[in-house]
Parts: sequence; C-alpha cells; structure tokens
Amino acid sequence: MAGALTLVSPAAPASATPLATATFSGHATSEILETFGAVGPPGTLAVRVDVGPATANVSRNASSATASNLLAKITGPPAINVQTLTASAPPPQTVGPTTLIPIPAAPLLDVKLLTGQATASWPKVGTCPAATVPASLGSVTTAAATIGGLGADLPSLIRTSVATTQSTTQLVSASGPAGTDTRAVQARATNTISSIDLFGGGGSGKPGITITINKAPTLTGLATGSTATSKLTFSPVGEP
Amino acid sequence: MTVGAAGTPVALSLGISVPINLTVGAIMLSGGINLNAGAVGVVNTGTMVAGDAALLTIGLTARINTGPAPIQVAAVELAVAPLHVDATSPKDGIQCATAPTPPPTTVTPPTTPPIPSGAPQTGAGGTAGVQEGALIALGLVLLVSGAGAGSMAYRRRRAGHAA
Repeated sequence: MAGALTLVSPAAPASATPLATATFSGHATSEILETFGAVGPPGTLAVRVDVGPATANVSRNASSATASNLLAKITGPPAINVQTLTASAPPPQTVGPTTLIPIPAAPLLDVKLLTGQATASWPKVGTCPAATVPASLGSVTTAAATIGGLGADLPSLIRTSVATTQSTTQLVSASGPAGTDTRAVQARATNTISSIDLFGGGGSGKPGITITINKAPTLTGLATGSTATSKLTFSPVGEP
Repeated sequence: MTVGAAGTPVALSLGISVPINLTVGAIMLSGGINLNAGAVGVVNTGTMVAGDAALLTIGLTARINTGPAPIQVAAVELAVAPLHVDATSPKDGIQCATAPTPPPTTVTPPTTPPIPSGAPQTGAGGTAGVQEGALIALGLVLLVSGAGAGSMAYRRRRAGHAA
C-alpha cells in the first residue's frame, strides 16, 4: 500500500472565460421614430432623423447609456445632436430623469414632452454587475410625436401615442460548472408605443387609420458563447 | 393588432403589407406600409447575436410623371419603434467569479503495517488479522489489570503499615 493517500475535490471544468481576459460586448438601441428622406434623384440630398434614441452598451469592465431627444444627419455635415444624456461606469452613474429640450421642427416634426434617463451600473473594474441588474439602461419617453403635419387642414403622415423606448444590456446568469458564476451577454430594446395614427388617424369618420398595439415590441439578443443557447427573439406584438 | 378605420377595428395579421399607388396630377406616389412580424438581418453564431426589427415601416417614393421614365423627386422611409441589438460572448460565457475551492485534502495513514483484510493465499488459518488485533487487545487488558492489581497490593501494604 502507498505511504500516503491523497483525496482531491473534483475541480469543475473551467470552460467559461474569466472576466479578466474575456472579450465581449452588448449594444442595444431603440427609438420612437426613424425617418430617412431624400430630395431629388437618389444620391442628391438625404436627411436622416432619429427621434428619441436610447442606447445601452456594455463591455469588459465598462458600461454606458445615452438618452437623446433627436439625432439628425444630413448628407455631408456631421450629425446634429440636439441633446443627449450620457452615463458611464464604473463607478455607477445615473443621469436623469430629465426633461429634454423640445425639438424645434414643427410642423414638419413635432415631438412633445420628452424625458430621458441614462444609467450605467458597472460597479468596479474586475467585478461584474449583479446578474439581475442591467449593466446599462437608456430610456426616452415622449407624450406624442408627429411627422408631416404641414397644416391644420392637412392630415399628418404619422402620429404616435405616448411611448417609452428603452435599451438595456445585462450580464445574465447562464448555465455553467457548479460553483461558478457564469454569465451571458444580453442586449434588449423595447418600445411601449400603444397606438399609431396614419394619415390623420381613423375613427369618427376620419379617413385615416389607427393602429393599436397590444403588446410592446421587444427585441432581445442573448449571446452565451454556445450555438445551442444563444438566440435572438422579437417578441410577438400579439393578436387581439 | 387592430386597425380602426372609420371606427371599426379590424384584426390584422403580422407580416401584412399594404401597397400604396397614387397619382395626383403629375405626381406619382408609390410604396407600402408593412407591419413587421419578425427581425431582419439576424445573425447567430453562438458567440455573436445581432438583429434589427421595427414595428411598422412605411416607404414612399414620389415621381413626376414625365412619360415612360418618371423622375424621382423625393423618397421617405419611416420606421416606427425601430430596434437594434447585438451581443458577443466568449465561448461558453463569462466567468464572473468562482466560489472558493477547498484546498486538496491529504490523508496520511499511520506508518504501522497494514492489517490484512483477507485470508492468506496459502497455509492454514484465515484469521490472522483478527488474531493480531485480539492479541493487542488482550495485552492491553493484561497491562491495565496488572497495574490495577499492583496498585491494590501497594495500597493494602501501606494500610497495613499505617495500622
């Protein structure tokens, strides 16, 4: 018989990459409206306008979020950024909720009562955020947004209801070896818009159309590092 | 999702597309309204996931009807509730923290020869282990009883001297 007997606890397979060396990222963006207009033949002059964009980002040891009232880009010049709230971590930071500057583009574009908030929650270098808390969150709420309201007697092209856009990133718990805190990267974008009026809206004899949304559309991307469990889902808007 | 045209809601299926073709004077409007049912540009490699979606998209193009080749004068693309996500992860995820692993446990048995647990391969007697153990136990009993007997005899002698 051997002189010594050694009992070693079975070590869990170290399959996940430690935070210190892991390379990962998560991005989410959501907006109230996104418009792209071109005047003249293709390639002549183009304008892109994003209303109420909210972004969330995460990478190793850092997270950030933004909430803006308007981003506009005209062919050639740099983008016009009217007002953006920005939060970055570590250390954790929350900016807002803050009332954003109204967009001065009526009647072509009229956006009412914008409120933004940006939160970044990465606690400190080398330490992950809690699995149940977003690493970053950007959010914009508006009472209504109207495009194409060219006159009192002309119907607007589109008008949205109260809506909140929200973008989040999160290091969610994932299956892994026992005794380890294994995480996956989740990015989620959602919009709580409840109705859309097209061409002036419907009802009461109006010629337009009103679309009622029963459930907030939500787009979620989950990267686990495995094809079996990584997925991208667009939540069903829902039938009545 | 419902559409209330003239106050009468009508159920719509996701994925529906409503074409638009209008001619107002010399202006031709063409395009469509799409109620989108799913994400587009979907990528899923396991370590990377990405995609875009929008609840509703409207595309309109205005052209001047100048004959067989109308000239485009304007185009508008509009998306309601546009959403985008992308995420990347190392293979099998991120290890944020590991529960403390107990140090290896080492058990060193005594250096005395091991007690056979079975009968020897040859020869008589299959209880060697039991015999050795019994002998050790018997020796201990004798030692203790002997010491006790000696102690009693010593006490008796001391008592006798005292008397």
